[in-house]
Amino acid sequence: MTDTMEKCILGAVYIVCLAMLAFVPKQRRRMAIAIYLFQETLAWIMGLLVVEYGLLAYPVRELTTMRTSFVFEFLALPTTSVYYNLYYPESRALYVRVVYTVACVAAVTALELWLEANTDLVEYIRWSGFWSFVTITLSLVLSRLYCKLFLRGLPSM
Amino acid sequence: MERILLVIIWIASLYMFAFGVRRNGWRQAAILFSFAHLFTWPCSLLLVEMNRVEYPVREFVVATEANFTLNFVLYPCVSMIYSMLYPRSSALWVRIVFTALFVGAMTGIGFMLSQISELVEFPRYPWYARFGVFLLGSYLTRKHYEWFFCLRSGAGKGRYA
Repeated sequence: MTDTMEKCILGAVYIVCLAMLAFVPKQRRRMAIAIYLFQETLAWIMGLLVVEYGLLAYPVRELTTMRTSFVFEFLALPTTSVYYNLYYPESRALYVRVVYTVACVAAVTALELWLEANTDLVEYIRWSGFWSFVTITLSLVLSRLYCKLFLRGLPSM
Repeated sequence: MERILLVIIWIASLYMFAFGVRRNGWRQAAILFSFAHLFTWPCSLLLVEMNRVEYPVREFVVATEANFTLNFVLYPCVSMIYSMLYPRSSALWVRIVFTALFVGAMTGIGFMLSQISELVEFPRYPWYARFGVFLLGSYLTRKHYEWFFCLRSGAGKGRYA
């Protein structure tokens, strides 16, 4: 098998994401679910659009009938978003929040760039790390807004 | 023909979504709508993968072989309405009839679409299997919704409404 490494990475991503979701604090489970579902809905549309317009390709993937990355949209990005919101330094100064956001996005982008360069899991066609950075930033900021809107006026969750 | 149907489905779904938001607030509508995706996408993709369902005419021709509008817009809206209107405090037979009618309507819509258009075809996917899958999806969505918003039978709008 030529794509053994890709399959191992996919399996590892599933395990890590599911484990991370299992470790969400119990009293914040509802908040995590709300963010997860929001992010997954958003990622699904964006993922379909970028693949449909031929900006990105995912040569090795789980399903043949879905040419986007199932694990990234369904699990990895929502999980990242949940943890981004769980540990968001809400009461700190603006620059702390900006650095926190940039660090989170940079970590995801760096991982994707590495996968692009070293595996067949993702290929950039008319895309670049810059656009990944922009779209992931947008996704996380939107999830933060949604989270604040969702929690406003509610008992702590 | 297919395009006209898709536009009609979009308008009907937006109306259903607006109804849900007005009736139970946007939080409940958003949670129900997005939770349905968790069920409908993996399910429909697996069925397509197993050649049990086909979507000959669809919006994203390249990106996916599943239909976007049916899985992403119509089903979530219908199941949202189901969970919101579910008569939690009524007698068992009322709940069973209600569920049978709603799930029957979903199966019926699918059958109708497969007859009059090429939006969806069911080569190896009999009606009772469709009914069963819709039943399971609606049940899971409703149970999650009742848990999330702490809805007990007859307890009104719940904690996070």
